[in-house]
Amino acid sequence: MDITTITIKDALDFLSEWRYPLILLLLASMTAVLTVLAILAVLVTALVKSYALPPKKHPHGASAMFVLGSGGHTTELLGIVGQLDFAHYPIRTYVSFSGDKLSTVRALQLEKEKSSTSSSSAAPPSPPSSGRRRQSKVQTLELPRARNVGQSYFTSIFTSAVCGLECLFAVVKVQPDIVVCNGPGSCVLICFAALLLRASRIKLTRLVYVESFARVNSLSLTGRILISMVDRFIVQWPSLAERYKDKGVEYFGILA
Amino acid sequence: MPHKVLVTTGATYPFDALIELIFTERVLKKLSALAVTDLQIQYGSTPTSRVAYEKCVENCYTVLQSTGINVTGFGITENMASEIRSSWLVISHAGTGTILDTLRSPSPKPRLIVVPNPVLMHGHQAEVAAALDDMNCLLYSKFATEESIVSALDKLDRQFTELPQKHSLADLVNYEAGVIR
Repeated sequence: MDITTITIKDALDFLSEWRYPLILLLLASMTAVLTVLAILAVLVTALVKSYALPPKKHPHGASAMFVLGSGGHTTELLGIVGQLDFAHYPIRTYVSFSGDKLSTVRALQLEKEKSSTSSSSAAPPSPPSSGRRRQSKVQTLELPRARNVGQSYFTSIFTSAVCGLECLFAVVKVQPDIVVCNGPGSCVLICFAALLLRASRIKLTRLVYVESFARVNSLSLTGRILISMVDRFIVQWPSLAERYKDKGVEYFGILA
Repeated sequence: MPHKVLVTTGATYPFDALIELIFTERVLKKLSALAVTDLQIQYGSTPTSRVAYEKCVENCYTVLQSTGINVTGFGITENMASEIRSSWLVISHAGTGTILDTLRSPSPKPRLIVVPNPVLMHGHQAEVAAALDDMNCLLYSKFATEESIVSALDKLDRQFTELPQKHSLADLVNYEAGVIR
């Protein structure tokens, strides 16, 4: 009884002292920091665990996001997209970056070609005709660029931030089951956004990165950033496969 | 059958040095000896490259007259693939697009000589050409010099190796997307 009284009295005395607000501030900030760390730890653990999971089954069709880099990157990626059976991918999203109208045009051209060939030839392997089949949807998104050619590094911090946010919105909105990309630059931000989706368990988006046919002996900067973040990393030259075999790089031959 | 040689400098960076190299007496005479009848130059989108091309044609007027080579030129075209297909030989900058278009074109395939743009040498652009030369799919002229290009032209009668078939990534993507039942 005595002890309790003393303790409470002491505590009140202590609180009335000038140090009180400082202590409170310290406690509050410590709590905040710990909460953030805890959330981060949960997210990172979830993300790390997600790499060990097998891909989720989507027998009724998947939502795919194709990131078109521009120029030669777009040519290579659309070559890969062209090999896919669109019956498996009812939802297809083509992402390109501002100032690159041509990629969108070429994606839509491919869509047109594919639809004309699939309707003329044998009917696509239609799944069991239950109503659960995903509604078909093709869309193109044009996002702002992370960095324009010749832009200063300082201002590119801000443009990258804008690009990153737009990528995040796009990925959260589309919630793709799979993202296929091959660089350059801006596709890193799409992958980051997809990893956030994965970490928060909103969607276990799978990431496939294909290094350009033009990279024979060394990885691109984009490749070096993404190599430990994507589920599958494919190169097109044996020399690269040999050099990065410890990193789980895969080589099947030329894809272009 | 007319033998057409297509010279491409690419759409992005000017490569006037390649045009000037082709329009030297030595190279033109070598082309004529290879029974070349038509020379088609893709000089690029910059106006200065057009001027450089026109100047070259003017300077070589007498050689062109004596060899009977017919010269045409254009800046850029959407039908590059068909221009490539109708060629007997393509002399190209180290652009991956042109290299693939040439090596993937239907038989009879044009032969291919790649000359990297020295301005872009610090990059990795020429690596593909060098690697494909190792595979005997094309001829890689490391330097943009008369010597180098004439020695490449001397090797044109060899049997080139076909570029390996394109591998499909569909199975891998299908597996990752979980769409295979």
